[in-house]
Amino acid sequence: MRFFSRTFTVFSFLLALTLLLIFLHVRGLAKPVESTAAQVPRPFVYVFSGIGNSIKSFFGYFSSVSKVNNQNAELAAQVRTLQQDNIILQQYKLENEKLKKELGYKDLSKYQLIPGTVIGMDPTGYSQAVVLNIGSNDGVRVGAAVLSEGVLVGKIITVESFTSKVLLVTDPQSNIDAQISLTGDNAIVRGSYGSGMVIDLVSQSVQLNKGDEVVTAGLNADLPKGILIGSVGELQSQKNGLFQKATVVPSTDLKNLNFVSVIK
Amino acid sequence: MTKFLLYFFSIILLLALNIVFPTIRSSTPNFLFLFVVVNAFRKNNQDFLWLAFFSGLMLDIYSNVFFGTYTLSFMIIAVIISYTTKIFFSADPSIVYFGSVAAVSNLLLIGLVFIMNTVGVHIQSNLGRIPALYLGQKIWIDLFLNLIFVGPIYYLSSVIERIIEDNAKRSARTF
Repeated sequence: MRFFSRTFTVFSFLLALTLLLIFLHVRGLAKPVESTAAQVPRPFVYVFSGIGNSIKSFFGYFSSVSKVNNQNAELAAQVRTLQQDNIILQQYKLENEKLKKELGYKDLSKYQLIPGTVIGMDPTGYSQAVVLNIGSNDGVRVGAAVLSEGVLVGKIITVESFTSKVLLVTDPQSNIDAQISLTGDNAIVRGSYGSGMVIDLVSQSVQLNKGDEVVTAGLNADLPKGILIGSVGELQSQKNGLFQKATVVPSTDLKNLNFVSVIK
Repeated sequence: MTKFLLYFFSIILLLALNIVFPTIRSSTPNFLFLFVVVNAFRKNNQDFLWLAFFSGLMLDIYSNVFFGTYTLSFMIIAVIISYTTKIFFSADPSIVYFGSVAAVSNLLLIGLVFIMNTVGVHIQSNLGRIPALYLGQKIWIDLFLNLIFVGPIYYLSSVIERIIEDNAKRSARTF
């Protein structure tokens, strides 16, 4: 009987404490406590992350041999196509530079980048978020775009002194103002459960084709225009719908992120 | 003091392991949840509620679900396990019984996470709703992974309990 009365007392106390913490969190007042608590496991996360990456790369070598052969053949074909494309692009570049000079445009493609390493994932698997080893001390701020090999992978949602959390573009809470690169039509790219993305709110008058590149629209100050997000996959919309909708295939492997860059 | 340090480092280590553990189709074993289950299961453990509270709090800070979801879920599950174990089972429980408790608790946890997330969506409008279909696919892989790792966590808990007991005996002898 004594056990139950003691358990009930402790449970009631902790329940009240939890409700207080939820209230403070929703109001945004629990930030200092959360920030301090988030720092505590950091050294252990580093150690485990290092061990985990070594094991992953060791086993990854064996499993990747057959994949590498297939990729090699595909890449050889791609190189030939890209060589041809490159010649055309060089001509465009010259033309573009001339135009920029004439119009006095500032070169928008030069971002100040902060390099970072992914040290962990969301431990519960209910959201697509990763933890980086860079924080406010390195100049990272909330809302900044995170790139991997030049491709947008997410946005910074929380920043601590030495770490930061990135909400990946595949998370359902992620909404990005996007543009179809070819036509310049605006749309929204949303994350969806199961590591995918959908492009939504595309006008019915727009010709949406599989493989079309999707880039950022630059409507938000934190997300510069023209950063590649992915390419259009399967069309999901119906003909009588107001807007078109399609899946978006990410242009980088979001499940195996290692090194990323954050735009300053 | 030894007890506090042991529990503190266990929670931190298990959280760090949870963060870096590779995900399999968005699923990953929940080491902190298993630690809570194991400790609530032990009849002579008086601190299981505190462990549930702090384990849940750390997961809430590091995960992206509605804040408080894991803290409340872990505490409710810990009380239920402790209550049923103390009331209905006097003898040493078998491994099958323990596995069943872990499995049922896991299903209960997913149910509680779903309910609290739905409540959270109404409170915090920027929160994403977890679709039932996604949860349905995730449940079974989560359960499978948790049942694989419940053994090592039980062992860890036994080692901690033994150290605490030895320490208590040594202190008693000194006095």
